[in-house]
Amino acid sequence: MNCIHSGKSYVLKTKASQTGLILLFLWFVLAAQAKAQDVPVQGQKRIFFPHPMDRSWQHSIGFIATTMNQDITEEAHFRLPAIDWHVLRKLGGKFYLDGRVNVQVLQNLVSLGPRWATQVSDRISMSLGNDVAYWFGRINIAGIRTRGHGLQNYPNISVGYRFNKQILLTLRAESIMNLNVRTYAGETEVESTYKLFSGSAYSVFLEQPFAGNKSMTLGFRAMYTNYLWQTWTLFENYDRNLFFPQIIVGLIL
Amino acid sequence: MKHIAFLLLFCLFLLSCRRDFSAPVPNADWDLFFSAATRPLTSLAFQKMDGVYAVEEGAGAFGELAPAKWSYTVTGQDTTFHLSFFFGVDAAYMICEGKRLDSTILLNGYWRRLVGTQTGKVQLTIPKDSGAAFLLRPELTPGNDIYITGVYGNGNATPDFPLRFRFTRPIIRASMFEILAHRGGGRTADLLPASENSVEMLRLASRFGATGVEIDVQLTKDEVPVLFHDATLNERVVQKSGLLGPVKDYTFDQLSTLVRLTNGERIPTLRQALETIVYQTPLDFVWLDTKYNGNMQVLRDLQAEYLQKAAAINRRIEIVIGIPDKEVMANFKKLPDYQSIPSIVEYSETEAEAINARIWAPQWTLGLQDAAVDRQQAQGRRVFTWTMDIQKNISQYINEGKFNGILSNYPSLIAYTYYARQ
Amino acid sequence: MRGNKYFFILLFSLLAGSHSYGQEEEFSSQPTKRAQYAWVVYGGGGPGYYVSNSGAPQYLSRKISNLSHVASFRLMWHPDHLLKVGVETGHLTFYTYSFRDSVDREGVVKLKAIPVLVVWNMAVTKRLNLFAGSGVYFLRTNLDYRGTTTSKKTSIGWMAAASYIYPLSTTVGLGSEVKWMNASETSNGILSLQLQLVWKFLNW
Repeated sequence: MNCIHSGKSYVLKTKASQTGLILLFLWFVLAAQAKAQDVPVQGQKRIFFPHPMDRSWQHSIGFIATTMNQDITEEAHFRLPAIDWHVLRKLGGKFYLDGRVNVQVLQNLVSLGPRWATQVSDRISMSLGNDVAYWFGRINIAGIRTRGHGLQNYPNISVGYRFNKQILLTLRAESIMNLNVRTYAGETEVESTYKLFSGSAYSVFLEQPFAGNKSMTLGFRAMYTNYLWQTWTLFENYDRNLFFPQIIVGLIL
Repeated sequence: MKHIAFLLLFCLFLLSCRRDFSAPVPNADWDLFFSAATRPLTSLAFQKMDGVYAVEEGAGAFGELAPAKWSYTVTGQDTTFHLSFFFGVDAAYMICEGKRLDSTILLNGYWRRLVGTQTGKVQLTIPKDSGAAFLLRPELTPGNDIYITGVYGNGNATPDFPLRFRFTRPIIRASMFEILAHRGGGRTADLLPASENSVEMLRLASRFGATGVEIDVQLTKDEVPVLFHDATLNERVVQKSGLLGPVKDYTFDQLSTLVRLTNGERIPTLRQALETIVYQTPLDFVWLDTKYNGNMQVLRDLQAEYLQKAAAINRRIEIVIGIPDKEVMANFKKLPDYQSIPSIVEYSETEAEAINARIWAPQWTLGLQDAAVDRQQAQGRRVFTWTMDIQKNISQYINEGKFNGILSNYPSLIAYTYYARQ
Repeated sequence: MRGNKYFFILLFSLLAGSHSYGQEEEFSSQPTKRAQYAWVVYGGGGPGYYVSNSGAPQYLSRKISNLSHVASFRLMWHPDHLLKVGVETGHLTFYTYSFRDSVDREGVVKLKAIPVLVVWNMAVTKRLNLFAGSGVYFLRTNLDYRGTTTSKKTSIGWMAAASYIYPLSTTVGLGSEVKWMNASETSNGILSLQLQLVWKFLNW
């Protein structure tokens, strides 16, 4: 159907439900305006803020809650959040490795990728990276053993702004690429329809001290994709970039 | 502050940019088709167009083969005929009405790519010397060369991409094979012209290639059987009304007054649905998927009533009660003489035998199950599988499997695969 | 009136109780020193406005009431930084409408909810706080038309709020809060303006 020009419409449309999300963003941005002493970024705990690392390792543990799109999941709007373990490893100079493990027990994702980060000005930093992710799942659905795995790639760019009072704000854009998907129901291989360039994701993260010497990450990620790996058990073949919002919460250890 | 303003605007932009998916049926305006000189086609002409066509132009968009099948819808005293083409690419199809202009046949309609949102106009002609003379002849004579040529376009734009179909062979439907459309014809999420489980969708089902339908039945608070799939009223399937929660919490009057399906239709009663299927469509199979845990006598009574009504007008139709789980099975077994009631068991093979079900319907992900299918068929029981939407697997099940029918959200894809293979 | 009486007694008790802390720093959500923790309750209520005129069938003669009242109760843990976490519940009516059907029979629909949310809080200044949270809304439809019906549904949802808290003592503040609440099962949200009593009831 490649000679047919798409009739998809990209509509700038503010629904009331989205107004809530906008207010949530407003919260992030306004919160970052807190006035107080100016603390340099070195020495501040951070996991998403794109800045060269000043310690060898950095860990965070938290969760990712994804709201499913009803076009695919119908009545099942929400699923149990995934445990999110996030590790950074300094490589030297402006390079570091970014690794994540998302665990839902029955389906899990591991990603790893290099980052090159640089300080643009006193307050602004940025990074470029590319994460390769592998997901796998094994679920018994109505007595049928289904299993699947896939390989993904996420080229990404982040821009960070350091506010006063140790508040770090990061904006990140990613391309979502599905390199391979294999799914099975029992012994039957189920064809999965996906595209190499499946969509994109846009995130905002707020990081700041929380309790004692621990810091907290609060994030929101808006994904637009025609294949979300977490829906592999549905064996759906829509070719539409559906919206999947995620809330990301992490405690930086 | 400049930075903050920038960040704020950036966030607002990201959040407010949302894709609004829709696939409205393009308008059918074609001056030639609606000119005063055109006349309706007979059902015989449509019947003679049934066949598998080679796509000689437009194969890049629609694939190389296009089975075509005619269908009808009765509205009052009028009968409307449609010719549908089914394609093996992205569950695409075309639906056209037909007229004759002197000795030329005109086909006017639209195409749709069902896995996405793309759609557009289709305008086709069959000149006299390209088969129209044969098609317009008033007797059912053996096949002839038919060439259908024309154009298709995107959306409501004037179509200008060329199309050319060549008749290769007639299509054959093995008498027992059922192409079953899920939820009365398709899901609301597939952006079809009608909502799932609506009377309007039932009228469309055969145009999508279905020979039968599966419909979801629940009981209202006052025990009226209605068509509704989800466990609760929600904005996926109904327009916003403030009414939430299970259908069984509301009386039929309350639902009928306050609730409209996504495309504006009322939630139909099972009686309205069966009335539509029996008297207005060519569908020959109805699978009543029991979505409630309660009194099944009301379902049985309607089944019996409409089987009788269909027999009275010589309509060959099967209406079977679907039993999806043990709870419904227990209710079904409370019906008097339940072993003689036409039923379809959607899980256990042994339960299908125990109640003498007409059909056993295992989930497709259980595999081809040749041995079990053979065993059931040897007992005179048919075997359907559900709910298959993936093209590669559909091909495998139709070409290698022994099933008597397949339930799908994309009946056009089943129709394509089934008719094209013969 | 009885409710009001209890409210003022409670307010008076809180003010009197807090007086024993003497003339220390006034109430603020911002931390004053390291390793100082507190539990804080917020109770409030006020008018809410449902930000949509859709929700009632267009084909009926109908009258939508967007105004209602919203009550909230929040328990927050205040660690020694700007960011705090807690839980919130309350009661609200998203919207109500009355209607007449084609034969002039009347009916009323009310959509109410009890939210249970995890809430994050950031003290932007000494007195200005921002809140955001997500969780579940226990929705209830009350229908009075040809019989009465109550039906329930659970929905995910979220909230966002800004609150200005005026200190009354070291442990008590009086706030006003603007809040947005939304449940995903009903596609529009409610904006409320609440008067809020804040009490730092445990401090260590």
